[in-house]
Amino acid sequence: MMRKRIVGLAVLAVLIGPAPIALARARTGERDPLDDARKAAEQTPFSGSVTLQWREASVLRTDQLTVKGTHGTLLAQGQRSAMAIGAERLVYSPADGWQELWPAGLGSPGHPNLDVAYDVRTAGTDHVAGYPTDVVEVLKAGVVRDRLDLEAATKLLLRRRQYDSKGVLERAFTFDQIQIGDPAMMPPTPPAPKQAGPRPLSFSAVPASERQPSRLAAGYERLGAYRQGGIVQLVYSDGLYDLSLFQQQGGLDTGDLPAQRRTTRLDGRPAWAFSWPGGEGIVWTAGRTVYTLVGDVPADELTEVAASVSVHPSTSVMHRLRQACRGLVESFTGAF
Amino acid sequence: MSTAAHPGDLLSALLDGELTAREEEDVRAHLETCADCQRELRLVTEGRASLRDLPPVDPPFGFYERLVRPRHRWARAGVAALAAGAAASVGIMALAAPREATVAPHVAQLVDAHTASASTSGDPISEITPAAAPVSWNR
Repeated sequence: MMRKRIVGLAVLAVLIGPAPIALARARTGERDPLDDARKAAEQTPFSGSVTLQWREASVLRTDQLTVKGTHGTLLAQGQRSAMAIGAERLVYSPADGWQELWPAGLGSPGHPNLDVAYDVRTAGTDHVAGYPTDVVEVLKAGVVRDRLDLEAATKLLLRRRQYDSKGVLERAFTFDQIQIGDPAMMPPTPPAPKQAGPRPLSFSAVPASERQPSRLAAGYERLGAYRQGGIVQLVYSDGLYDLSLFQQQGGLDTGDLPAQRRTTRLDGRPAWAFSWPGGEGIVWTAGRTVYTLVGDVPADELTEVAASVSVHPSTSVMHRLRQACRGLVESFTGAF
Repeated sequence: MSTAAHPGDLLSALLDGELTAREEEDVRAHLETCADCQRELRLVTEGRASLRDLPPVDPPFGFYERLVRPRHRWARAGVAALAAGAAASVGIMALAAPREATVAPHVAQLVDAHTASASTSGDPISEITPAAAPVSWNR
């Protein structure tokens, strides 16, 4: 009798289980404007100049670069060059030569469906660099977080403006000038890079001290884990923005943190925030681990997510006592 | 001059009235025949008179504190010993602790790693372009 009940429950679970998944898939019938933009970037030849704007504390900074693409290859040129060849990502600087950031065979971590956390709506038309655009707004909790200008014919992304939760502009990418349809002259495929890119890591192979939950605050889902140079990168996304969490064992040496860092606090701990043209970052330490969280997210959301990261304090009270004694002695004698 | 059985310290005791009747009688009998002891008694008497005539003197500042200092000195020594013991314990604990490796996150590399992964899933143009921007992390 009991066995029949168990079998019955198992059958019921199998029947009910897929239902939410089916519902979730049904909701994703809408097209993702960023997917459209990615496909257009891979298929459309273009060449132009771009202005980047990003907020560093309260200052809005600006820079200009050239970008061109053809047949799935992209090249951005500024102080150094960044290149995308299919899924492969490389950077070049005169000092370091070509470095592989992402090998072609690694594929993409992907991302959750955009409409799980955001509302997407069309917001009329506009013109960017002389081309008509369809404007798409991506909203969270009723606030526009991203405004995308997709070229009307090709869906190439010509302008992207990102806002924080209060509607303040955080970052912008704008084509000032662009030629669409003319195959750009691309540099030859770079030689073998000096430095190899990361390798995939199954989550079960992530060291226990660096494991993190599958979901962080603000709806970020874990998509993958990678390892390079002994450092594990956990990749999260909410469908619009991406985050990478790096954890390193040891005490924090603040000497090499970015000069433009901003001191802040995270759950009562000191933390250091910084900005770069592509996003925001924050570094903090807890126990024996140094955490670095970076992402193309607004600063306020990054802080919220960072606060939800599981910290691994020292497990041993004796260890903490010994380290405290060592710190005390080193404050008088210097390191020994 | 009689040299036998000089009373010595008994002369001072005689002046202080501390001798028994028998001792006093013996000392006085000796004094009648001993010129040295008579002179000594006279010197002791004069010395005492001189001392009594001296004016009273106030003790200098801190005299009483110095008088009682020995007890505080021991207390201080005790505290110092305890502090030394605590410092030694901290030192031993510190030496027992393995030196913890320090980490200086190479932010530029971590940002590059993030940019690369993010650009494979989002719009590649707007995601990869910032990687070419001139950022001086340690300007």
